[in-house]
Amino acid sequence: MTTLTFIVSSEALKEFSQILQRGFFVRIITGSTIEEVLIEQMGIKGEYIENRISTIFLDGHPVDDLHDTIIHDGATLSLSAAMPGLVGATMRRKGAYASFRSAIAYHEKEGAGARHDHEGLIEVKLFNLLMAELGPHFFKKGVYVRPGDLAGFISPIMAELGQGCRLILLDDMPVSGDDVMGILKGMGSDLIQVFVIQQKDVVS
Amino acid sequence: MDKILRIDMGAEGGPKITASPVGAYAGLGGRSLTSSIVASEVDPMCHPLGAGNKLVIAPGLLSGSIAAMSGRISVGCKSPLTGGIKEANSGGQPSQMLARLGYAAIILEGKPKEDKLYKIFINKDGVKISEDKSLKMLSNYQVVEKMKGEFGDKIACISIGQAGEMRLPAASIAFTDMELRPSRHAGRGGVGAVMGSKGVKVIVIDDAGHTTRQPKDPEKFRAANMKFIEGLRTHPVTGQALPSYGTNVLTNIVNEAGGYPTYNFKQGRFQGAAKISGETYAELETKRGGLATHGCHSGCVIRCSGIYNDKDGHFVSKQPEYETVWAHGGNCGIDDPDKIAMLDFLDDDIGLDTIEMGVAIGVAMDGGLLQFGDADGAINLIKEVGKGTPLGRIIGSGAAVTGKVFGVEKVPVVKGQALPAYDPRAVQGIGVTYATSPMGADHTAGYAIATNILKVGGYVDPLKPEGQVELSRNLQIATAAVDSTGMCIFIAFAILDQPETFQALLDMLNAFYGLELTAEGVAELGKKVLTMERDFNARAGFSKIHDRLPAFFKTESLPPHNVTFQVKDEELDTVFNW
Repeated sequence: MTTLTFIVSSEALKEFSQILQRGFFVRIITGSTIEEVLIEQMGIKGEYIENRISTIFLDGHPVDDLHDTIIHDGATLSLSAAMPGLVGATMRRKGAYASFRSAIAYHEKEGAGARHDHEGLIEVKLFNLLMAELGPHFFKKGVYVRPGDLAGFISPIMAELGQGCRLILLDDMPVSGDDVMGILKGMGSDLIQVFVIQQKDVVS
Repeated sequence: MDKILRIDMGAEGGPKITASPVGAYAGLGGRSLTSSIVASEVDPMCHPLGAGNKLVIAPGLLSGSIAAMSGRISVGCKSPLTGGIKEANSGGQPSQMLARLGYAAIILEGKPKEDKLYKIFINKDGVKISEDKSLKMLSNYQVVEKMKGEFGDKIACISIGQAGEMRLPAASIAFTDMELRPSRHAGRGGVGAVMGSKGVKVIVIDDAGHTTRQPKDPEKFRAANMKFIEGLRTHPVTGQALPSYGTNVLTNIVNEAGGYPTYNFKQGRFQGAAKISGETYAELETKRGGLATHGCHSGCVIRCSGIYNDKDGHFVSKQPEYETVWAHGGNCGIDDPDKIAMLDFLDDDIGLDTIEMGVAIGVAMDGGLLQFGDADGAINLIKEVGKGTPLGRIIGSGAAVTGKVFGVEKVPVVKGQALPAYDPRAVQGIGVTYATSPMGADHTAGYAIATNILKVGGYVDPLKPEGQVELSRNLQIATAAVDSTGMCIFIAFAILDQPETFQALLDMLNAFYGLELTAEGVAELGKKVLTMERDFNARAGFSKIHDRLPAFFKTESLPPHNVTFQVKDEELDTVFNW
């Protein structure tokens, strides 16, 4: 697995966080509940989930119950803080207006809840306040992205990123910012693991 | 706010100005005042652009005071778009200034006998109205610039652009913001066309010499206001999400839910959503020297607006709202934030409802006039509206007319008004509100107000599909009540979750007016407003068949969840049974 590590300024980290709303991949033990994945596998505190992650989608379906909803291989898990608007309130977990979206709410299929513990890959999307709050956590652990998607994301912001990138490592070997686009384009479609780490965290 | 300013634009010898006590309308503000006046003084069968219609502009009950979030202003009339009663509201500075000058409402009535265009100037010395030919077919930004030259920069303006002068059914009324830009709009229902029909181009307000309105019990009022502000600041939506990203923070989650109407309501997800999300806009605004957090009126503590600059740091528009970004963006297949901001500016400048325009262009795209995704084509279409070309007048007449002209079957309107940015097949409860609101399809008609605190209706299990009609009813009642206070609707989130913040709002109203208003009393006000509005519509010829969504929502399933609208007509007919 190819790894690409960006050591960046805090401004560049903010810029990178924008990719999290488009989606990235994380390896998990599938057949686990959302709660288990978030707390035990991703390392997010239960209190934070309860107070902050008020809106959760699994494969585009708003989820109400984190204890019993199982994540399967290939699923898409999207996480958001509390949102405005009637629809924002409607999408909240167990919110007062959840019945408004009962037609699309997540329901576990019968028999699908059986646990099959094996490693799998899920797509994760982070929205709004969670991008800045959970982004550094995920970037430090490494996220998986397709080289083409990463190239598409950084291409229009390369100049700004260039200023904020202190060091770029390809499999632990330094590469220049100018070379990154070419390298990504030549990689094919296999996932690569990307780390984005603030310079101050490396120094300390 | 103890007087009502009436200007009879059709009086013999020219417009006649009268200021009279509020009389029977005492104690009303915002929507409750506009709807009361329209319901009791306007013949429901009159032509919306005729002498019989009235345009009512009313600040909220706490406007002009130091109360936070009290700067909304309501505009009411018979709508040229829907043919029914209309209340559209806006932020901006005029509400605070008008209230400080003591006006509970301005009513424009009658109609000039000749094709004349007037400006109205209101200050501490009174009201002056004069013909001004030089304003003809100026845009909103141009007319405000001219008024600044004439009256200085301590004013606020209420104006129409070219669309209002042409009396197009999608014309809005602009209200200037804190930077004296005409960027806040009473957008829906063609209220700008009614102002145009009265021959009024601009109302200039100068409140110099007047200070803030004083409450009956200053101590209690100040304490309640502080508690109210604290509630707004500590709530994650009003204290963090809205200030950080604005209303467009909804793009990602509505898209993720599969309820983001795309390509004229053909699918519920847009591939380019992340490129035009609130998160992306906020990042661009900050990077380009604009602002991601900005208030639209003095006294705003949520500050959900912003300033959007181009790549070179020049002002393009205020931060486009979620509905605007959706209507001109995903609904038309456009994923370029710069082009959407330009469309937002053009709508503001020409004086157009951004929802109606985006949906009309989406319908036109469906009819083959343009390709979905053609941003420059969309920009040219809005410019055509400003020029008043035949094609522009069709688009400026809204989605329903555009659909007829281009032979499109799928036209997302209710009572002639375009649906906003949430597909009712994915979020069925909002479909109930779209269908039944007396205003036509309106996303703010049934907002996320604390129906539990207001004690309207019984408990509805949030996780069961039943009860959507009850919830819609309760939300519409609660929203009508809050719209009557003139408070910004975004306070809804804090009062949804925090009973003490709602109590602080009641305490403010009570301390200001010396009342003993309770939650039940607020709910009763909401019912009273809705009853008046529905009665007006019934007298204008509306019946239950108008409380329906277009048929395609029931027959065409919406990807990715492949759902159709399931609420039965008989259930819709029970929404207003209380």
